[in-house]
Amino acid sequence: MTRPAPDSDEWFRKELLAIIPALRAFSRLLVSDRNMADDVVQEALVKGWAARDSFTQGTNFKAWMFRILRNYYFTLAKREQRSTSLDPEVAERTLVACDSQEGQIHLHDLEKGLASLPAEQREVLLLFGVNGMSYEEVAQMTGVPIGTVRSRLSRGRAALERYIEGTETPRKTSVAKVA
Amino acid sequence: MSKQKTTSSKRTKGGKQAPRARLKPPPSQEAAATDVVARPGIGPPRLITQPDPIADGLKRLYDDVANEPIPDEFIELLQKLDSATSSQESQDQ
Repeated sequence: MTRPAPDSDEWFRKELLAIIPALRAFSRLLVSDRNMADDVVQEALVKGWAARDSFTQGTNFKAWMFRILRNYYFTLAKREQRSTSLDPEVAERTLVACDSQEGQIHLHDLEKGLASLPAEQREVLLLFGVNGMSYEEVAQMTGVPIGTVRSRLSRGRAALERYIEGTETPRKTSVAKVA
Repeated sequence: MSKQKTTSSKRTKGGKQAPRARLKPPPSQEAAATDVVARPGIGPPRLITQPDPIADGLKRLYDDVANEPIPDEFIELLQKLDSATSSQESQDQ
């Protein structure tokens, strides 16, 4: 097997192909809307391809693509925020209300809990917790100070824990009071 | 707390340990959320790999998607990208 030269288009296309599963997973949990998540990945691939000349060989390709994806998503989210106002509390209430299952932690609950968080917290949980990036790497990618990364992480975790506890012991009454 | 059970307490998923290895509980900040280092001075916090259902769950959610076969539309997109020059390049010229 001959490998494509590291700076050729063929090499870049192969790298893109190889990174798709990770990008889709990151996007699905970050964007939390299934269809939109794949659209975001496609757009990131197009953007990555268009910017391929600016990728520095030997640096972390995955981080490079993740950054493109998250930048695109947050640009999109900002734009959306201006046109529609999704009240996160309403979203959360709806999620909890329709989830009356008792029992142990379900991945489904976790996914919904994650979706109820601010996107900035979701992002840090995914980059740090799932992808094993360091505080420094996350700070660099997201363009915020390390302290902000830390607080987003701990707040996100705390909120997730509260969410999970809420689904374990059904507390519909207290949820209803939020309204 | 399962503080004594260190590294081996959560080895349920045989082949999937490698990515978890970097999920060390971060020294101070994480404490508020998980009380991982609630008792400082007992040992270096980084050695404590206690069960972390949330981190494990997130990892599983992530892996579930990552293990899905790549949808055709992505392959087609890449093929299109391959044959066309980049949009930026063509705009520049």
